[in-house]
Amino acid sequence: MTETARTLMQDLFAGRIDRRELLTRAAAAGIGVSALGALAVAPWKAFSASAQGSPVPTGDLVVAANGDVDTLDPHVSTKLLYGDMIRRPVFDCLVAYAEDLTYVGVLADSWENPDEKTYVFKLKSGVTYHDGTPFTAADVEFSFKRIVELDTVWSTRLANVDSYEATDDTTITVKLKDVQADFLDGLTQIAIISEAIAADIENTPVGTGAFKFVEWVPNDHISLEANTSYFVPGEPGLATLRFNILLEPQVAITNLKSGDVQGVLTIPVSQVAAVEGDDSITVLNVPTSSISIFEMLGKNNETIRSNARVRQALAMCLDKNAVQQVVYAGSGFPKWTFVGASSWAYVDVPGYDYDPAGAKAILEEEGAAGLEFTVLCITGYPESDGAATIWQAGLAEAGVTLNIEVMELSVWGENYRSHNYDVIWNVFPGFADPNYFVSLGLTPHFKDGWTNEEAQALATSANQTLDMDIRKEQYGQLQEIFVQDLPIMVIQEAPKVSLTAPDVANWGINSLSWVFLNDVTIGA
Amino acid sequence: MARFAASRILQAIPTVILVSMLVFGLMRMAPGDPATMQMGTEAANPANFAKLEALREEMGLTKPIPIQYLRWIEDLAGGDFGDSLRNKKPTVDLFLQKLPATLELLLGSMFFALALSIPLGVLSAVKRGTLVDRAAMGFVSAGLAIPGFWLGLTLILIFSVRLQWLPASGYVPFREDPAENIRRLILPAITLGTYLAAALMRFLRSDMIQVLSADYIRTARAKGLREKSVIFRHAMKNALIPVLTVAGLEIGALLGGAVIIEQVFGWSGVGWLTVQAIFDRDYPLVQTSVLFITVGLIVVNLLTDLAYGLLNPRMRVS
Repeated sequence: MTETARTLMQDLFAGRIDRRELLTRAAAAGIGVSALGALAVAPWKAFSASAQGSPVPTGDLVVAANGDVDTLDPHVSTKLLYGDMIRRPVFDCLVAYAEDLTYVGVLADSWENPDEKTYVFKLKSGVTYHDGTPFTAADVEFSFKRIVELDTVWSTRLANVDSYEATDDTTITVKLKDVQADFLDGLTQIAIISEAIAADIENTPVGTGAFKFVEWVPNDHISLEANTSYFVPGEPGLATLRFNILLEPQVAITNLKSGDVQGVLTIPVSQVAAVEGDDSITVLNVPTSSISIFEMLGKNNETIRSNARVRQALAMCLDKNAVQQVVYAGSGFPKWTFVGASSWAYVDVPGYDYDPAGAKAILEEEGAAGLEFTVLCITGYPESDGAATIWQAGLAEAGVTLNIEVMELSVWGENYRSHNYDVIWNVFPGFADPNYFVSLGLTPHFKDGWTNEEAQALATSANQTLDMDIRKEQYGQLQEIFVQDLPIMVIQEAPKVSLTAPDVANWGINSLSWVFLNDVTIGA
Repeated sequence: MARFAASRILQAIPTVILVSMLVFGLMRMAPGDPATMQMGTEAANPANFAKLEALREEMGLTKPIPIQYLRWIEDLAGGDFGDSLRNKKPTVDLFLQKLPATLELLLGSMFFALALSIPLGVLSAVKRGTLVDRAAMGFVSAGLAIPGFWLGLTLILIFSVRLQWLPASGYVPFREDPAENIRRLILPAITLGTYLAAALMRFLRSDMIQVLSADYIRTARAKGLREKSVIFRHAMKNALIPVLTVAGLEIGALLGGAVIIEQVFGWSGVGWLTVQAIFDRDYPLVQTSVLFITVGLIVVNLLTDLAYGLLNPRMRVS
């Protein structure tokens, strides 16, 4: 069965079948979604040409990045790009995601829960920072406390911590105020630094990671070099790693063709057709759990906000197949629920077929015939107005007028935050624990119009137990209610596309769309 | 001449003050704010609303705009241009760090534009109506019409991807490696300079045609001067003066084009820095950049006027 599952996943990554076909065939072969998920989350490990890192780091890799970092401080930056370029190469966290998105220790050797509110971490010994300072349990306590004191967004992940106690250099006990199932999930992004390093971390980020920081020239490049005494065998696979900031995808592609860069962190999926068939470029098109969505509960349209049947009718006007073909070049996975299709918590809720005529009838029944509303989209995200335009056509058939407003990210952000919209397009990066989306995406709507007490209770209780069977059941129920009530209409999962030169191996992308370059090699 | 220069400098002061007020006011009136940008998607999390307000307070965004403006002027008077809201570094340092790249790009493209437009413009006027003239006018039409973004990518495809003669992108400071610096400058300078070359050539051609039909040229020819001497010593000297003035005034347009070209060639200069700062709503950095660019353009215009005065004695008198 595993071999069948692996073959199916290989067909998916090679583009021979789409996600829907995969699930259909898997179901026919008696393979569960979770079994596929275990393979789906780490295609770079399972299928890349050479999965073994070079024992001695050699080779220089230059990567085109589609943006710059805003700061070098890992406890401040929230940018996804920061994770790809600095957090994961330069720093380590206590834990990281395994291939199936469960947790494995990095700086933590192991951990145990004497009770549901207590975590005792045994730390790795013999690990040093790039400047030679030894890593100890005191650094973990310092890092956690620094984040709380800085009061940055990462402090939300530690808000439930009651106390820390570093018993010795390799043991730290963390006590929580309440049971919090996604506590470890937050730790996957909390870099550990020492107190001595913190003072100058905005200029010189010193971590324990596979690469040492060399320099950052804003809007130009970030340079890293190998940490030859890194404690993970086979990493790093490169002598130097450099990110050139090239904002335009077409510019990044021409740089890859000319050999000025050997990798491109990401390009829009719509650009894939332009490079397919080019022998000098390897396309890595990986499914992720990143979702694009329409949020329906803005404060400006009472008809949509207060009536789930109206929202269902509007959903029946979105031709998701057309969106997938036109906006995502046939990639990605249309679905209705917020949980990633490869997640342990995913439930394939059927949703709504494309049926504008049926929608029109419902809208008439609900007294919402001839409805007009506006959707807010973001400049520079062609998939936002692309999906909105397709929706607009379907809605027109149902007698509904949709106005599309495309605006700058900062303007969109203000409207989003104050819920100043009828409907708004949004994209959520991939997440491992469903509570990430529940706390960030759903909870705000409990306060502004989605008055479903059962959903609210499930959203809370599913994160307050460590029993995975209970969590799975409760998130399953929550997904059913979510699709029924449609506070948010999920459009589809979006793939992540990276490009590399043919002699680049081990380029990793996980299903959260994070890029991993620690064991990448070139020219082997 | 000194009085002329002094009066122009005095005239520039209100311009700088007006620009400072405009850039300050417009940035703050534009929707969106730097605190939201810095927090990213997490800004939408209700758990972070208080943090967002605290960040606004820390950035000094909660006070009335006139008060913020006066504070800024007060700081400027003390030589403090402020720190970038995005990465906390002094805005002057960030601007000056990027300035050499942009100056080089402007000078390189200006050099290319003049080197191409002067001989072609003169040749086109002298050989008016011939195949050479038509070919030159074809270049003018293409140079004015082709978007810089497209031209840059096409040049990269030809000279970097196919022929592999020149690097596709990146800036290397001159002091680090002069040869590599110039190699990397060639494609962006040509891309940026093409529009200006076409514009100047068209201008020079029509100017030259007018001059060539002037009485003093007919007289020079009647005196039996050689055609070379008529063109280079008499006609061209007069036709070039307005061209140089136009070239000076076009620096502003070049700077606008540089924003795009810097992105195509990964040439990290002040254009890109400023545009990025606008997107990030990094108010202090936008203010510093716009102020410095304004002063720079005023200086260039002043120098152009002075040079025009030096080259054309009639202007000095008036």
